Amino acid sequence: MRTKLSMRLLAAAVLVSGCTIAHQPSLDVTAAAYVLPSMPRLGEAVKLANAQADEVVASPASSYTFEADLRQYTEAVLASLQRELTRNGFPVDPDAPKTLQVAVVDVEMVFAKGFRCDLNLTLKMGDDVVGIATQSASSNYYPEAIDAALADAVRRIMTHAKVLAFLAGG
Amino acid sequence: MPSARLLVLLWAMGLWPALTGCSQNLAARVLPGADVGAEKTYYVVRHERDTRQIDLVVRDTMRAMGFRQVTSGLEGVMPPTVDIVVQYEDRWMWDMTNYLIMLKIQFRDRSSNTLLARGRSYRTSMVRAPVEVMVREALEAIFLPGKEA
Repeated sequence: MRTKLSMRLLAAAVLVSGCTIAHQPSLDVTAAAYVLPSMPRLGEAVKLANAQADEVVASPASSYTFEADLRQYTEAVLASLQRELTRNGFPVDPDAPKTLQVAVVDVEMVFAKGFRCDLNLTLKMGDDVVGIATQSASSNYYPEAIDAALADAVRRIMTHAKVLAFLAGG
Repeated sequence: MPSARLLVLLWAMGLWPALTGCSQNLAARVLPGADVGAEKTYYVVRHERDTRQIDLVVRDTMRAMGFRQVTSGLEGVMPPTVDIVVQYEDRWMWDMTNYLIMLKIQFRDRSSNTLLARGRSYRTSMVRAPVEVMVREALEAIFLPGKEA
């Protein structure tokens, strides 16, 4: 009985003391719901490129420190974005001359009434650069907060006026 | 003699608030290649739900830190000459009185909306501090890293 109690106390101590979490973002996140404006589809193909270098950023949230590999997060966004583009009739081709460069430049986990993951992205379309920031829901379960942020990021890319103009051939 | 389960519960009830009730941390990051120097012009955007005018505190703190060209106000009246937009998020909680649990400040390039830098101060109830202190902490974490150590 005493051993069991000690183990529980130890587990609780580990739980409440600070620890580092390095979460691998899912490549299967579906974009948050959005509505595309009426526009021409099936035009010139686009190539998606990960423009983020290997870099890990850390952010404290509650009693944890979250570490995020920015290149992995960019891969997660690109995987979901490619599915959304294809689903909506925008051809994606790794050999296309037109390139949409995507970089998740910052990942910050914040804690206030639950975990919330804030992503910042930079999109490069030719000479044009666009910054996108997510505003997703918080959750008591941090992987859900990360998935929500990724889903919101893809939704914001898919509905950004400059991205749509670029996809349409602008 | 209380059961082991009850002992664990009592222990957790006492220790959890003791540990989490005095949590405090700072986080900041300046993105690679970002230019957030004193020669730039800044505009602190007051968000529409802010009745406390925290934008003025951010503006005055930045001026005190040597940023001469800082103005603030609503987004709709931002001067066209601004280089960098400063945004903040204030999260409040109730524990006997209302207190600021988190203040996050972000610096964005005005033309592209890309993130240049961010800072955050987080303080739970037992280590609560006035808005002015948390604004200064968040800004110093960005511009004077290591000062808080």
